[in-house]
Amino acid sequence: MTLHLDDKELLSQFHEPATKEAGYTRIIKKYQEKLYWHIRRMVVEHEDANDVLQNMFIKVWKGLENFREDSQLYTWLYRIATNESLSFLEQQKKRSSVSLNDVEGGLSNKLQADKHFDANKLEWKLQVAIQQLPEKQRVVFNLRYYDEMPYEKMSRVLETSEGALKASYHHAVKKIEDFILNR
Amino acid sequence: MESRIDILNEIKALSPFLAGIEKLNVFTVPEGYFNFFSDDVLAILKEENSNIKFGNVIHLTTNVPQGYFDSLAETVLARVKEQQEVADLNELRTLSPMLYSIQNENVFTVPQGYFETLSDNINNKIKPQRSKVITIGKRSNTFIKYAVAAAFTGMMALGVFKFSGSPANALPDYVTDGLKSHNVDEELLQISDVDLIKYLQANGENVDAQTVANQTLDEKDLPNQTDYLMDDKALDKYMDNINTNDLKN
Repeated sequence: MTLHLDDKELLSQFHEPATKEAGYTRIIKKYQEKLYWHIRRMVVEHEDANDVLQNMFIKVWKGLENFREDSQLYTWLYRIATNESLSFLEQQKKRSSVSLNDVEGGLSNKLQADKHFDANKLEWKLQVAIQQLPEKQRVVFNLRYYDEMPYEKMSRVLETSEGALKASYHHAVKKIEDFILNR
Repeated sequence: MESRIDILNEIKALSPFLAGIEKLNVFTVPEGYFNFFSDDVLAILKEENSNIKFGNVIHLTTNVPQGYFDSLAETVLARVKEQQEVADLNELRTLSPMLYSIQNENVFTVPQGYFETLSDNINNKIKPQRSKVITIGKRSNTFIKYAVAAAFTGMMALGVFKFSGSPANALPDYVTDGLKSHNVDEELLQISDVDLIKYLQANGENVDAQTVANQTLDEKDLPNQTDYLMDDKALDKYMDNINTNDLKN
């Protein structure tokens, strides 16, 4: 079992040349799973999630030098992961020259292509419903529902007001319920 | 700050249906993925190439053929070399199509097996030769030998010096007048004993072997054994350095 150190200690390690690599490795190990699942719920496929996660941690390495310690590492990492996921989806859209709805449909198709997919199981229906949401609403729903993130934190991650986030989450919940119950 | 309970209560209020769904993770990841993930990222950072864009990410644990990075440098160098060779040929083709058509054909031949044995032949030549062993006898015997040799050589040198090494005008006219050639032996044969006695008496010389030996057998002036071993001209040099004026006195 990996012992997770306090973020401040990890950052101190990273800023010391002798322990820089070790500190960075510990930061990855501490946050990799949470961030992976956040990204995976957005991009659906493992290979894509892996690409996004690797890219985000490469950016983290480059950005950590100038990271302001007064802001939270956790918040900063989630912001990068979210932005990288949204950029990835944006690039996919441009590459395939399809509309946003088609991409979301594409994500549903990817879900259904999963070898474990079972259309009769509620957990799979929930996932398909989430993929119908607009991207940013999907981010809000995932962070609140799965990561149980307080609005205050989410506000810092997404740089959006708490009120807007609350409204977005409420809309998302209603849409998902409607999708599962009425389709 | 909101607690987990607050968040659960919120979803219960918004949608009891959703709140009732068990939060199961439907996704799976390859076994051991999280164990090696940080290593993969560090490896990519260390490579620090440009393959960090979407779609070009290197999956070190899955997509790279085994040994890919071990041979990457050689592969790149081979390609660079290949391109250089092509560029060189193109340059020659532009400069001289005729030379290009010859294609560096070698018209010279070497004896069969020459290159196979070349290194051995060179090695044999550069091998250090066994040194000749010189046995050095007892110092006293050797000293006598050298002393006798030095005395004899000194006498010979003195004779030559007196009869041919000194300027011609040092000889009396009756001697020099008869010297038509430079053959010393012939000229000496033509000089009568009477003339020789006269010459010696005129120059006040009384040089005999004992005199030479006495002058030359000063031990501290003689070359030592080491000098003879190191330089086979040691005796000659010693003789050259003898002060003939001392011999005269």
